[in-house]
Amino acid sequence: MIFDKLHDLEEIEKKILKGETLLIAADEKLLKKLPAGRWIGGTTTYFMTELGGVCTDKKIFVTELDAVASNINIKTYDENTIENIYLDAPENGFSFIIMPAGSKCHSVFSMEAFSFKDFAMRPLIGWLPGTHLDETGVDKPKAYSGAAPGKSIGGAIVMHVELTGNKLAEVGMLNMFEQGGGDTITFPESGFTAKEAYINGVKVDFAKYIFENNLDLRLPLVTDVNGTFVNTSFCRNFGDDGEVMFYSPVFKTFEYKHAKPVANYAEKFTKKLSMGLGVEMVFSCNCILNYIYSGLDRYSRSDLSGPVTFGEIAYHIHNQTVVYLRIIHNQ
Amino acid sequence: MLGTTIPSVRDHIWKEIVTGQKTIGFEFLAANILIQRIRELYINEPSDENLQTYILQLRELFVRNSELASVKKDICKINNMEN
Repeated sequence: MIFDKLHDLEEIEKKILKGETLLIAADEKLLKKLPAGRWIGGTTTYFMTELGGVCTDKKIFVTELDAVASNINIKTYDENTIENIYLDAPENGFSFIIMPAGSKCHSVFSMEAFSFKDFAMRPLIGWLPGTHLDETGVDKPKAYSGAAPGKSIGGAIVMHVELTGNKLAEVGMLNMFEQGGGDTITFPESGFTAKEAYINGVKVDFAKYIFENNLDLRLPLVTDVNGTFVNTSFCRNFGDDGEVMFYSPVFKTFEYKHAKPVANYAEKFTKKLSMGLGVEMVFSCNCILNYIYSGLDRYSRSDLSGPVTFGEIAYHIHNQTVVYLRIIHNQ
Repeated sequence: MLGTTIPSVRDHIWKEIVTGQKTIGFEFLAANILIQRIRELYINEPSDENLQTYILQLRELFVRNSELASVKKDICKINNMEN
């Protein structure tokens, strides 16, 4: 991880005014003050840094792209235009998306991205902003852009980045969770909520099943996507009608299992990074649920840095994962 | 067909991957997500025309990303599966 660290507002203002290309994460009151320029940003007050997990509303996390970017295009999407995101991506490069949860755009992307023209044909990475956990329901997660400084974005903000020369972008996802050995869970409908589920083929009230089986909602549902484990995380609160709520949709065609507990998340993560993944990594972000459930706020290793996020995007939406962008220098 | 040469669109391996007759766990995240998607679509509407569309789509993903080390490994897996 060579580009990222926490900065003061004044430092970032100078970088923006010098014309640097930046991906930014910070508290809203800092993002709102940033001048026009080549940047996009989202709200969070949680970060993984060289010093471990940090919560601050006084510093800005930045990823500098000038060493790798030859050209950029900052574009705003809404629920009607988000389907073009893969079509707009550069031939050699990547697209970086910041999209607040709860918007129509977020809903359309989460439910329908699989059907977008050229889905997954070009690298797409990004994250969902959030607020300080003490401010949940008071403040709203927001995205900003140097193309229209001071104004939050209603849908999604995307920086399409063309890479210089012989560089290649690789987007990946790290998931420390695996499927447990319990019941097979499917859903009659796709969506962010589920009143009912099929447990080993038998229809049940899903909330009742969770209570009766004492399911630990800190652990996600995990589905096997052609050998890649993909998570769907539970919201801790239930809906007004007792429906179970999720941070990303469940899909009726997928089979899920409740995840196995992870004994030592931070150690397992470090082991994965030590296998060489950290080399050429330009950006990564880790989920707030890992931060609070897995002890990352007490994590003190220097090989993990990035904003702590409220949903991750690597081609599609993910929960309780790390997503990363590597820029590889092709020989 | 050996090494990191991408099998031609007429190669039977693509049909086997798309229809689920053969399962290869790829390192390339985009490939795994796309395969899951197109298998679902094919199961819902299993026509020759759709099969051809999905084969072209999947092969194109490998072509566009063929310089990535992870994709090179995956192409080797496809070729090894084929032989």
